[in-house]
Amino acid sequence: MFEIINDDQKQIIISLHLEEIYTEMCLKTHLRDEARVFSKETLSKKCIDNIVQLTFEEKKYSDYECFIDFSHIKYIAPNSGDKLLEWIQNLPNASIIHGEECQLLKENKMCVAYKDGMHDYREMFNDYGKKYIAKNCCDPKGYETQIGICLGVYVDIKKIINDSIEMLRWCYIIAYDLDKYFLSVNEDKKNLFFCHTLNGAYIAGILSQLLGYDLVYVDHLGPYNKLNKVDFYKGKSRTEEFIVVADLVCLGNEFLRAKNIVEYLGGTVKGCVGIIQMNDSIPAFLSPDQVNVFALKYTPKSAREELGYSVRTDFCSAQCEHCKKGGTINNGIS
Amino acid sequence: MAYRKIVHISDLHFSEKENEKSVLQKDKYVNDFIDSLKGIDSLDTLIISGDIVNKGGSQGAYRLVDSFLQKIRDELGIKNILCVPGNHDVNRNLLLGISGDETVDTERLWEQYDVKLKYYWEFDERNDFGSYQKSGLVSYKVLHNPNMVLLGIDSTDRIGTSDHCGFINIENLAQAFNDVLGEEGGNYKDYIKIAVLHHRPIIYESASQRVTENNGSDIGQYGTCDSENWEKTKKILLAYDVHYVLTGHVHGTQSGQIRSFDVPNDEINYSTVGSIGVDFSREIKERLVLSGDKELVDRFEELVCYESLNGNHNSYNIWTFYESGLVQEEQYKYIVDEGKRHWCRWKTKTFEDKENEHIDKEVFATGVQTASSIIEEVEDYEEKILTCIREHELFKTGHYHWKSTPRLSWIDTSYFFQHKEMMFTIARGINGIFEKEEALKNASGIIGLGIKGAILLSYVRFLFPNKKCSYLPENPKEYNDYEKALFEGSENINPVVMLTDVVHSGSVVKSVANMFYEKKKMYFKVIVVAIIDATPNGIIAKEKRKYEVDLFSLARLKVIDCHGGGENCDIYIKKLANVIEYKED
Repeated sequence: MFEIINDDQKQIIISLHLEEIYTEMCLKTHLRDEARVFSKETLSKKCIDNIVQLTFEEKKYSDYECFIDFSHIKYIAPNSGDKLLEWIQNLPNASIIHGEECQLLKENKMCVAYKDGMHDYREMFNDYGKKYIAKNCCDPKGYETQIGICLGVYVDIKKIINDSIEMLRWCYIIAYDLDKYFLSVNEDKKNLFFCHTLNGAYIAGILSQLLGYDLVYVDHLGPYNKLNKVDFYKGKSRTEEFIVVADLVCLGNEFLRAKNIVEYLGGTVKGCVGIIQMNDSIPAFLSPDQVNVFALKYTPKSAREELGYSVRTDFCSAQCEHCKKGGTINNGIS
Repeated sequence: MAYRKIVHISDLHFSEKENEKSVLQKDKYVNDFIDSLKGIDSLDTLIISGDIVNKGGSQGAYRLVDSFLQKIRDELGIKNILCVPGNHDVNRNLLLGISGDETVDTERLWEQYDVKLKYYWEFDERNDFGSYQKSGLVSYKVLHNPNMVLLGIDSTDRIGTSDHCGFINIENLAQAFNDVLGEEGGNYKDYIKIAVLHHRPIIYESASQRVTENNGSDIGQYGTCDSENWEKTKKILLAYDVHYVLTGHVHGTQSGQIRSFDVPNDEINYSTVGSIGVDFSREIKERLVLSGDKELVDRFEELVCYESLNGNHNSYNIWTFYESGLVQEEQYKYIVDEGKRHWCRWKTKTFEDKENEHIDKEVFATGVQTASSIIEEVEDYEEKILTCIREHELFKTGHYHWKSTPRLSWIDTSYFFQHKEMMFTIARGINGIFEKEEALKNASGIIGLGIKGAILLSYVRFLFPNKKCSYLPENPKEYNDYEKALFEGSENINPVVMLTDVVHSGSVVKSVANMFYEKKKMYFKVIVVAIIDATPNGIIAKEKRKYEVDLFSLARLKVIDCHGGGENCDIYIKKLANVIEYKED
């Protein structure tokens, strides 16, 4: 379901862990109190049955390299190992990545070391994600925000949400990086997500199931949210540490507003996670030791060049690069 | 599985005086109480934790209690009754009468146990409460199948002519425990042991059920037990394996374990039951009449309901002790609903007895698969949601306006969304609705309404991978061009399924449906799937020639509208829309 096919490099990659998580999320059994779907380490029979349907028999794939990413997979469901191995062996040019911890591969001496030129699922996602955004989510008509900032291109994150089950892939990548971050700082406590937008709430809901964290929300940042603020304030969690969940972060103004609310109410903000970060350095609102995990990160330059993304205000000089190229937006401000 | 049910009541406050009468002296109330207990299997024991009468000097009031207990025995088949005295049972007049006696130490009048509880001891003797001493351990009962020992402890030790916080005669108690239970409890080694006393030893923090130690002054000088004395008492209890302490005195129901920084877990389950006898209605009515506000007097029933839900209330608890070690505590309250009063199960807690912890875990580990499939079949989502609302006090009362819709009460569902285990329960319930209802099986699209709808959708989205899913702000006026475009590419979304938390008037659903109609210009069907249906009759009116609406929910709740009524309401007249005011706890 979630394989990534890179036609430029003639590579296909499959994350068995993501496939397993999808299988699990489709079953109502994951709706149990202690579920933390991301921590699944066993590839289930049902998932293997689905995976072996993938054959790549089309002629165009005959010279593609196929990578099977075993990250986070340690065990295979009983009586299903042979089926999986047979499928891998029948794939053309198949290689195994991150198979060191998988018992089945060890027993069959199939662990393939990670070597130059091989990319794991996370790395290949960067290319996939950027192409996906450029192709599906960018509206060149642009958008004027409520606070008078004009965007050269509107990136509609909801296109990912409306695209069947695609959002699970993006949330998986966030969970993957977040898990890696907490492993690197040797932290194993349950965090709390904080969200304040519709998109953020939906993403936080999925992340909450993947990572087992609770979430706290404020129904919009604005003057009429007293009701929820009061409840948030009264809640026992107000002095906890929060990770703000956003969809797209550019200048970070909205993140700062969320941070201010959390801190005003006695909590601490541990960092920010989201789908896209348009400025990968982000020194203005996050310190280097804070959580800073996004599925995709652009530099301002790459955002401008790859997506045509620009931010302008009434104070923008007509001499700016975008304007020089004749860029206009439909609300009359250039 | 063998089990025993025990009903725990407290603070009966019987009185011979007309203006002090206990509500237990009203026939309807007593009959409602007895009727609510009729037919309960294995209910053979009654525990009364003190304040039997309103004034300990009233011999006649105790006679009235005799009749009440006889009725209980006759109609419910109660075989065992254990009772302890409370501060109201102390007869101060008799103590004052002997205060001039030279043989009596007037500084320590409280030691005159025979005198100060004279009428209580007579009452005790008539009713066979298993009396033992007149301080320390005042009564005990040994029960079999399941094996239990009920231990009645006197906490009125220091109460004489003036009141005092709870205090227990440690020396007498230690000696009695040793004599009755044997050295280290050897006489009744595997028996479940329950201590009953009048004063609550600790303070409970209502919101989180976390409880802390107390020096007896935090909720009034006489509110709880002397903390130093209680620490010593607790050591005795734990030395004899007593892990349950049932109390009364404060007229409100709460339970929990002490969990603080100093004492991570003191291994005792404390449970305080509210008063069964105090006539709160009379107290409230007196206050209202004094206030001179006719409107408030007219709304008396509503106010009694609010008052009793928010603070003091008539209540009783039912305990179930299973032989396996599982223990269940059910709290019942006497509530007003649509003008009628009835006993309602308010909250249920289930936990394992310490002694049997290991056995139960093994049983659950081996039977988990079967157990979970059984649970799934019988899961009562409505009960779980209502219990959560009660337990976490999510039903707010007061006066608030949301836009122009006037309401006196509302349900704070944010708790559901902020606690994963509750969200899982709700998601399982919603999945159940989708599996059960044919119309939903065929629906091709689901729309979450508002931020709560978006969270809800994230929990069920992957259960329906082939359905189109999205979410929208609750107010169509907030839709941007991209959100409006959602309707344009959705020719086949009919019926439209809308996911939301609470449906009251259906105005949000209608405004989104109208937006849908404006885009599509075709008659269609809306199916609303809500956590709570708070509509007056379970229906959202259809819009002729535009759409019809079906409503499915996990729970139904009544939400009370503003008494002033829309245009007659001050808040509405003064155009204070969006002003939110509700009663803080």
